[in-house]
Amino acid sequence: MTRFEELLEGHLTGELAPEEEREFATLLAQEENRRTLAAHQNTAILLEGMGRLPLSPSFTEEVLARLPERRSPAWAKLWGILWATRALRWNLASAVALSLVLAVTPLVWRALTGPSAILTGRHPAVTVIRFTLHAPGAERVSLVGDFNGWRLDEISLSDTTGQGYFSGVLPLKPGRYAYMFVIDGTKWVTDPGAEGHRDDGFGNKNAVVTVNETQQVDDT
Amino acid sequence: MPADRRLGSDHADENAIIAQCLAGDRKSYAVLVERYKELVHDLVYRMIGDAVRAEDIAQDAFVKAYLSLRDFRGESRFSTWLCRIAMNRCKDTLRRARREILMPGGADGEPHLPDSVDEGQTPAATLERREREAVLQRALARLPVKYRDAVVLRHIEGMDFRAVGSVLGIAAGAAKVRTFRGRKMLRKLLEREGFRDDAI
Repeated sequence: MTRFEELLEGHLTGELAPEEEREFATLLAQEENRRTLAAHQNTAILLEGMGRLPLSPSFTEEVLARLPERRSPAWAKLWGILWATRALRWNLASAVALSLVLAVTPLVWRALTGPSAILTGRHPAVTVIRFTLHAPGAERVSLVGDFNGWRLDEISLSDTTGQGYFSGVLPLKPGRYAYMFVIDGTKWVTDPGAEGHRDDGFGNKNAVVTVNETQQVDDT
Repeated sequence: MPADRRLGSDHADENAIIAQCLAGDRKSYAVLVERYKELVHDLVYRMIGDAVRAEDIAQDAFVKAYLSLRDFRGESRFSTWLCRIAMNRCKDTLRRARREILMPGGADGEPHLPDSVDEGQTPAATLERREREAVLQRALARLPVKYRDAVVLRHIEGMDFRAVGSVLGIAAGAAKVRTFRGRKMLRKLLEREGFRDDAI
C-alpha cells in the first residue's frame, strides 16, 4: 500500500490523527488521488446500500428442529424440580399422612445416627484433578473451562517450585470438560499434555479432560 | 449504514441464554437464532451468491454453533463467533465447488434480489436499484474469496476491523489491508461492467 492508500483507509474509517488528516489533505492536491478517494467512497456507499434477502418465515423453527436433544446434567434437572412452582391440594388423608411422617422421622433419625449405626454407601463421586503447566517467565497462570463458565482469575495455579511449573487441583464430577490455561490474564494456552483436544470454533483447540465414575486421583 | 446492520449493541443477556441452552433448553436458542438469522443468512449469501443454498448453510452454521456452545469462551461476542462458523461453512462450500463463483441464484442465472419496493421510490428507481445490486453481486462473486470475505464483513455487515479480523482469524491491521485491496479490485470489476459513479 502506498502512503496515500494507508491514509485513505484511515480517512474512510475516521481514524486519522489531525496531523495525518493534514498530510492526507496535502496528497489530495493530486487529481489522481482525488479520483481514487471518490472511487473508494462510492464503492463503500454502494456496498453499504445493498438490501437484505428475505428469509423463509420458518427459518428459526427449522433450525430448532435440527438441534439434537442435549442431555441436561442431573443436578440441573433436580434443581428445576425443586424450584418449579406447584399448586398443592390437600385433603384430610394427606394431612394425616404428613403428620405421621413428621412424628416418625425424629425416631428413625435417632436410630440411624446412634452409636451402633454404621455409615455405608458411596461418597459423592468427585475426583480431584491436578492441572499443571510449565510456563517459565509467567507471573500468574489461571485455569478456565466450561466447569467455571470460562471465567478468568477464578482458579489460579501456583508455582511452588519457582521454576515455572504452575499447578493446582480441582474437584470435578464425572463428565467431559474443556479447559485452557491463561497466562498473565491475556495469553490463552492449550494444555500440551491434555488427554485430547477439540476445536473451539475459532481455529484453536480447547484441551479436554474426562473424569470417570471410578477415577480417584488424576494428574493432568 | 443502517443501524441494524451493525454488531455494535452489546447483549448482556446472551451469557444467560447460552447457559440455558447448555442446560438443555433448546427453546432458548431460538432467541439467538431470531437475533442473528438475517446477519448470518446475508453473510452467507454474499459469500456464495446462491440464495437457496445460503439458507441451508446458514442453518448449518446455527446448528454447528449450538453443538459447540460448550467451547464458546466468551472472548468475543457470540455474533462474531457465530459469523466465524458461518464463514468457515461458506469456505468449505466454495472449496467443495472447486470454484469461487456460485452465482446462478435463480433459474435465469441472475442473483436473487430483495423484492421490496422502497417507500418513496418510483418503480423505475426501484428497478434501477435492483439492477445496480445485481451488478454488485456479480462483481462480488468474482472477487477472490480472500478479499470478498473482508469486504462483505466490513462494508455489508458493518463490522469494525477488529471484528473482521476476529472472524477471519487475522489481525485488525491485516483485515484493513484486505478490505482496502478487496474494494480496489471490486472497483475495477465494476468499471469493467460499465459502472459509473453518477449511477449512485
